[in-house]
Amino acid sequence: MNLRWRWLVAASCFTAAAVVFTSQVWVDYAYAGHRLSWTRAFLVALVGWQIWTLLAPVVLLLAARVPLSRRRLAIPLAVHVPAGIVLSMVKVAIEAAIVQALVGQARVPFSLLNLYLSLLTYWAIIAAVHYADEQRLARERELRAAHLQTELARAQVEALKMQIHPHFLFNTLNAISGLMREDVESADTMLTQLSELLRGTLRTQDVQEVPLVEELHLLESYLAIQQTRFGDRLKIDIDVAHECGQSLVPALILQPIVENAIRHGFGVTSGPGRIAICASAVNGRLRIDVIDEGPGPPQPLREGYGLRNTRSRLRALYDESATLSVVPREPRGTLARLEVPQRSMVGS
Amino acid sequence: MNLRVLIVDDEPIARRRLRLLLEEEESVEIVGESEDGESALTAIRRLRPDLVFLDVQMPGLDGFDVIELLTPDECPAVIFVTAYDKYAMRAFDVHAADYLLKPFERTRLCTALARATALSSAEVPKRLQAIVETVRSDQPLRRFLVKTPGRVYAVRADDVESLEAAGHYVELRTAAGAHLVRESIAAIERRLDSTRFVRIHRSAIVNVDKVTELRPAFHGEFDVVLAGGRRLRCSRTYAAQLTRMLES
Repeated sequence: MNLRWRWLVAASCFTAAAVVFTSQVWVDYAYAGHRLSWTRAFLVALVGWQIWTLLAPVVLLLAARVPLSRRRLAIPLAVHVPAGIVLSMVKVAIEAAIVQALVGQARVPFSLLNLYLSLLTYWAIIAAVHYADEQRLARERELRAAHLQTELARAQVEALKMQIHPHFLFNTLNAISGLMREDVESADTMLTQLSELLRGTLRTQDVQEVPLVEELHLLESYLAIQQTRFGDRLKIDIDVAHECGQSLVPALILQPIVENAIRHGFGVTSGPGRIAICASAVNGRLRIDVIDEGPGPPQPLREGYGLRNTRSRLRALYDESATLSVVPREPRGTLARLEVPQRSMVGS
Repeated sequence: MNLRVLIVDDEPIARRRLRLLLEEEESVEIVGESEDGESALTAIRRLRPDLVFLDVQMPGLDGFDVIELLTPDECPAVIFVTAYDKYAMRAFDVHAADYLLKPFERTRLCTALARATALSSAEVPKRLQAIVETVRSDQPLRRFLVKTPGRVYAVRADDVESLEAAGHYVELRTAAGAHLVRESIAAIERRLDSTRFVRIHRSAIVNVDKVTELRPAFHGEFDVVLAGGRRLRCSRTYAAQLTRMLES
């Protein structure tokens, strides 16, 4: 909320206060033996309060520069206590001068009550600003959390879509139905892997980050199914440096990348193909490479929904310190490289 | 008389499953298996099967490519097999073709077999070509089939930088080289993804994603510079359309 807007809000509040205080002014003067008209009483009240409207920019600026904070209260107090006293005295002085001109005499003799009321007003402004700031911060925090939650939900939907991608799901069911006739054990295994995969995706509900080993475990079910479907034609290499296993990665982050490698890398060329997943620690960062031997990404890269969502999640979680690049590889194939800051689970 | 059958599927388990089911049918003789479109093409020409179980989605040439590449007298009866492909399924329904959805049960397979054998062989090629046409017209062209005397291969539309008319042929230019397709540039243009390919000249179409630069030439014409360095002239008639697409 900018300063001008806050000032407008303050001005409206003071005008409202003037309306409320009109009767007080009228009574004050009546006691002192002066019968004011209601219009004049309102004017006197208005003058008193609108001086605050004039002083408000100074107060608002001070409040913005030296916000109240729970941790270090000494500095704001050191600024606002004297500032409050000085401004209140200024206000009372100006008011006395104007009212004298307006009514022909000071409305009441100098009153400490007026000074206290002014001090109270000063602190009310400071408190209101503090409250508005807190509200805004809380909203921003909530928004950020909601944003992350949405991205995770999207990743989950994408992962689920990959599993119930009709081509994948029905071919897998067809393979199970085929294996049933020749090798019941293998059919059983494949059925279990499909279940693990579906369950695993549903389980990662509210966790933003998981250790790499967990993420890979889920992928293994997917890859094992593909391995059974394609047999010798598909070779899968997974190579994870020992120190990387417990590093945290965003949950379900690898699924769309590996699915791309299988669908657009392995799936479009006939003959044998290889998918490699390597994880290593490079300069305090966790690097995960997913490599295929397909025809390479189209140049320029047209990113599907899965990759776009991946990028936006990385930004939300790590700002600019995470990267994802998808580039052609020599002599053929695609290299998708994901780099995130290397961190482990706290307390493990 | 035995029905001579060829099984085409890129997944070994799926082939074995079909084989096991078919082996129990007395009238069926399995003459071979193929694991991709190219080998299916060779096998159909060499073995001359009566019936082919043809997987729709395969790497390289897919099921429809295989049919497109067969001459009418080479064309056997076909039962399509698919896990799921909405374009294919729509085309099958439009032309009342029989197809199997994976996984399928034995009785469904027997029905398909009975219907396939009942079809008169004279009608088969025409019906199959009609199915291919329906599928092709439903979705923008993703790949080009390039036929050379030695082999047939696919070129991804993504990789094509430009298409240029060359006599009765169209020359597809990619970073790797040029490929000739025997079709008119107008016929190809109709099937291209119009959000990515744009005509820049009577005899040239470019892939918007591959355009790196426009250099103004005379009379409101442009030179279009492509990623591979090739320069093509964009005539005034098409200039507005090209710049509009580049901005989007």
